[in-house]
Amino acid sequence: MGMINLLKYGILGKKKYYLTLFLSTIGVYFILFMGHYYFKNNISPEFAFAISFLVMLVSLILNIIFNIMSLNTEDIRYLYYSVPINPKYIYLRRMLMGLFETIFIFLLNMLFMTMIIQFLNPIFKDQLINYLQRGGIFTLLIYNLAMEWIIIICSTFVIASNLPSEKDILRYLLNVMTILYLLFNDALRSMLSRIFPYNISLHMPQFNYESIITGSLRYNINLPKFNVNIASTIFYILTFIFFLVLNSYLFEKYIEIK
Amino acid sequence: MGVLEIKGLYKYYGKKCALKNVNLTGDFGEIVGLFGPNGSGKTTLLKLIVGFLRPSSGSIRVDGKDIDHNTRAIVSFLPDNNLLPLWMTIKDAFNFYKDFFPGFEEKRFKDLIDYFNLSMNRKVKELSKGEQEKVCLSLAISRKAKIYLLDEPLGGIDPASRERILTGILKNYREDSLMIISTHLISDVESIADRVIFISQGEILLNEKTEKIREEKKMSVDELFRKTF
Repeated sequence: MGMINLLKYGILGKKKYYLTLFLSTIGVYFILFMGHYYFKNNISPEFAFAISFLVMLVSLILNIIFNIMSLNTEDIRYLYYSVPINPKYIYLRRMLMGLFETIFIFLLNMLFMTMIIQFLNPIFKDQLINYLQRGGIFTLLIYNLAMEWIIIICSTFVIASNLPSEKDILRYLLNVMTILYLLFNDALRSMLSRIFPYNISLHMPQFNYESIITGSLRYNINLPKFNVNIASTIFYILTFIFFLVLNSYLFEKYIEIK
Repeated sequence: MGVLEIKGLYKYYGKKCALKNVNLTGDFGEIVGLFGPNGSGKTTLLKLIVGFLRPSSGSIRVDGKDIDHNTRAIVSFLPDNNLLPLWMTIKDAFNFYKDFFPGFEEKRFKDLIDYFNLSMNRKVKELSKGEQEKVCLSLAISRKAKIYLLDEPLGGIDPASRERILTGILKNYREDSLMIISTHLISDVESIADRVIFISQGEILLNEKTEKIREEKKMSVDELFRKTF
């Protein structure tokens, strides 16, 4: 019940943010639609896709920033820390909200993108449905989780900054560990792939941004064979869980409200 | 055994010692005035009791239990600044407390809001500092807690309203609880305090019944404070 109430007040507190996000997204697509008429049908599906992608990317980046800021300005504050709920749930609430918002932004943009590109290129909807049915939905899910991963990693810096002053060494270690992880994450995963070259083959469809804006949509939604390295995937999942558990633990045991 | 027991409490901010070997007990039915100059450690002590800060060493027990998130159900804290997010209305804050704090007394809160001439639909961001403090105070004392910690409840309040707030606090004080009021406006609070604690540079200098001070020292607590500091 506590978590549901936390989510409820989290959503109530962001009513204006959701409305702004929704209206500004509609606004951009409306301008795009009007531009299509103004430029007398000279807007290509590729251009519309590029704009959609850009709107989605900006929204996702802003969402990450706002969630990290909310962690510092609302969650690690008197009100939420006064309630008789384990503080780790306050952190998990913010992470859950980050995930829901990422999915919301994705779906909202996908909806408008489909509407507008369908208008410009009538075969797009069929292609998109085909793409999702053939496993594209998992690709999109992975993109969503990647955004959530960024929120979790970045929240470590906020948590470190709210540790008691006598935990300076812990703060320093947390910051160094997170920076090193961000810098060497890719190198570590490639190293693991080389040491443990065990792959599973998946047919995961890609959204090839480059070719979509330069070529025709018709030929770009395909199903290339995907080799997923087991070791690097396990490493990715484990670090995701590690940072989530670590941050929840720090939230519960170490954070101070100054 | 008191409802509050503090033993050998130290709190450091980096190298600065904010609290030095604090030993205190508090019982039900007491109103304690915690007095000290700015930076003496009053707020630090209250934040340690509610669990916002963590002791560097020593122990704090509330109702026989070590401090954790569960003890927050029986400790009601009024900070010295607004604790409510600016998006909230007074009604949202009321609902928040009702949802999270078992035993929150709706009628008491609504009566207090009426008493302070406020309306439930007003937004926190539209309230003056004094009005925000009145809302936060109403929320804090409408909770059913065993310990009430009021940090500067009269700070930023005009003298006419102070009287009203003190009356509000007294009217709503529960006999089955301990109330600690931290302030440097001693003359306003000494009339309602059963016991006073003087704190300076993180050390308890005096911990005595108000009546005893008046009888033995032949002066008011305010006069003693001015003499001491």
